[in-house]
Amino acid sequence: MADHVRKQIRAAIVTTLTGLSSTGTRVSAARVDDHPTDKLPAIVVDTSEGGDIEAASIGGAGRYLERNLTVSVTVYVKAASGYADTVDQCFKEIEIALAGNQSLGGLCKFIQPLNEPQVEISDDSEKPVARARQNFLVPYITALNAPDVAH
Amino acid sequence: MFTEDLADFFDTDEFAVDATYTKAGGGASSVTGIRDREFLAALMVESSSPMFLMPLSSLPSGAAHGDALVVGSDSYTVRGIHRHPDGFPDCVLLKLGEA
Repeated sequence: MADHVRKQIRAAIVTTLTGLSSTGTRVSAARVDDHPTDKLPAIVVDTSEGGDIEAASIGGAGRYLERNLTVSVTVYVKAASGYADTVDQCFKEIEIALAGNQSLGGLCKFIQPLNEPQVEISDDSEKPVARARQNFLVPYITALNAPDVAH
Repeated sequence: MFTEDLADFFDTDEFAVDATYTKAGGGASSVTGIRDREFLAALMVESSSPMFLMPLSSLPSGAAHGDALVVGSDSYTVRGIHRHPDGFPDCVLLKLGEA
């Protein structure tokens, strides 16, 4: 059995965002450990924000569900100066990459930003650290009894 | 009145180091203090929190944020000046950022 489509979407977004000019291969999914300073800027893709589910058809266990998944893309930057510009450059590249892969190979209906990046700054360290998060709406459809197959 | 003798505390044969404090407007001073670089995870990014503790009497007049401190081969910008930190009433604690 394949992975849940949600996990497939997460992995597909990681793949889509890997190789961008600013962040290169420093892209991971649902990361919980700290980022080494020499591996920045970096991107983390997460689906922990969830999203609502609506019935898309009637019927038994095979009826369809429309799932409105929220995917958060978080950028981590550490720089003595210019971190705000780096954050904006990263999200420019992220938005363009996701716009160019709207169905993630048939996994979802589209990908759309839900908000402007929310930026947190910490100056407690030897260089300022910025953590910026932008959420994307990623609707997809599965059957009730087959959450591993996208329709 | 009790006067604290800081000479033993800021002994370069122990943990203290020599440094150069340069005000943003110019004028360098030699100072001696204790540098600390505690590990810190800032917003999930591995970092350190460099600090420099020195006698308050050594702090150049007019010291301000943006001044420079060079400790060995490391150059810092002064980001915070905390006079009389807890436990060190005759000292000043400098919060540093990498220059």
